[in-house]
Amino acid sequence: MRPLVLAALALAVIPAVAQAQDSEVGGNVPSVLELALNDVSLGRLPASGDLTARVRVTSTTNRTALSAVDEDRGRSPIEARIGSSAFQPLDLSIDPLLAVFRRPVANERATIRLRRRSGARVPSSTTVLITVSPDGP
Amino acid sequence: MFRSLAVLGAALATAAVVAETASAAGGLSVSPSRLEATARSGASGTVTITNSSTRKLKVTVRARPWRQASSGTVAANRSRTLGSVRLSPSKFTLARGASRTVTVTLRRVPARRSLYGALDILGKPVKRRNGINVAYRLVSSLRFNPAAGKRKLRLSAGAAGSSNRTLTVKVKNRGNTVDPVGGTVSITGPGGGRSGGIRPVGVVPGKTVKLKLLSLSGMRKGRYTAAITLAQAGRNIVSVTRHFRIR
Repeated sequence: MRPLVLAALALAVIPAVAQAQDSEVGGNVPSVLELALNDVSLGRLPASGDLTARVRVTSTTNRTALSAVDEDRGRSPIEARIGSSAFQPLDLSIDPLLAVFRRPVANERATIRLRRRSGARVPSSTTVLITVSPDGP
Repeated sequence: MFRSLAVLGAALATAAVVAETASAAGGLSVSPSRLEATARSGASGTVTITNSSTRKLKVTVRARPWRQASSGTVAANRSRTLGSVRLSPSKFTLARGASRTVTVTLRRVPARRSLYGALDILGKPVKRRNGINVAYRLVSSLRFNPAAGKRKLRLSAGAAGSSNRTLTVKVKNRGNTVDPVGGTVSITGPGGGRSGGIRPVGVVPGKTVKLKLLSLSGMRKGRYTAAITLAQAGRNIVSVTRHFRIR
């Protein structure tokens, strides 16, 4: 019991010491762009309803775009959106913008919803490329 | 009884930490996110691609030209590659936790004396299943800037128009840099005047974008004149006058 009390006291003292030694810490890091996907196999797309892809984006640049494109370059049977924005087809000549981060982000979460385009037939296996890119050249 | 509960509590706490760690696992990354070099034959640089996900990935790297929408948004053109850029290696497998350095070399300097494009990095899990699969795609920026004496800042302004109560003008980058295009605009007309700065937008050499100039909200109907000065790299490049009508 006594060691536990001592440990708790020690933990309570540490922040006070840290505050007392208030000093600025800085440094440089190389620019980086990272995409993390929670799951890579989402299963079959239901006839009505959607599938969700949970992603996290890390970027040191001030403007980063999150988009999704069909790996096959023909007409895509799938469309996507984030939040309550309109669904966008995945075969546009300019990748459909799902979100733009206007500041550097670290592990910024986003949930992409995918659904079947009206009347389209989805092949048994399809790959959607979740894309992070700069917003300008 | 108390001991069993303590053991159960500890197990649940450990499971929560493991779950948090798993969800916080990394993904596919590229560093630096923008590779810049002076456009000289043989100029090169490196990028490091790291797989910090929990999966083995097949990685493909391509150098592609940009496509640019009239809004200024860019996307790597997936149907083309930049023949004057060599990548080594361009295809490899990355085990989880592994990194690979890719060397990017400019084989020859284009006639424009600069080259801007995208490094299109695709990471696909080795195992593919039926149904919808998602894969990693990172697009980083590739800039082979013109040498100091070869820089050319040249812009041309096209027609002015308005969309969504915003005055726009078409601007073509006839130079060889991607220095953002900004400037100032001053509007005069029957409803009074309005002026302001133009939010800078990077325009790929040879491409045209619709630059947003000013909001027209609250302005009366009539014929107006806009005096537009376009600037790049801190220099005024072109000044034009455009007439437009608010209906």
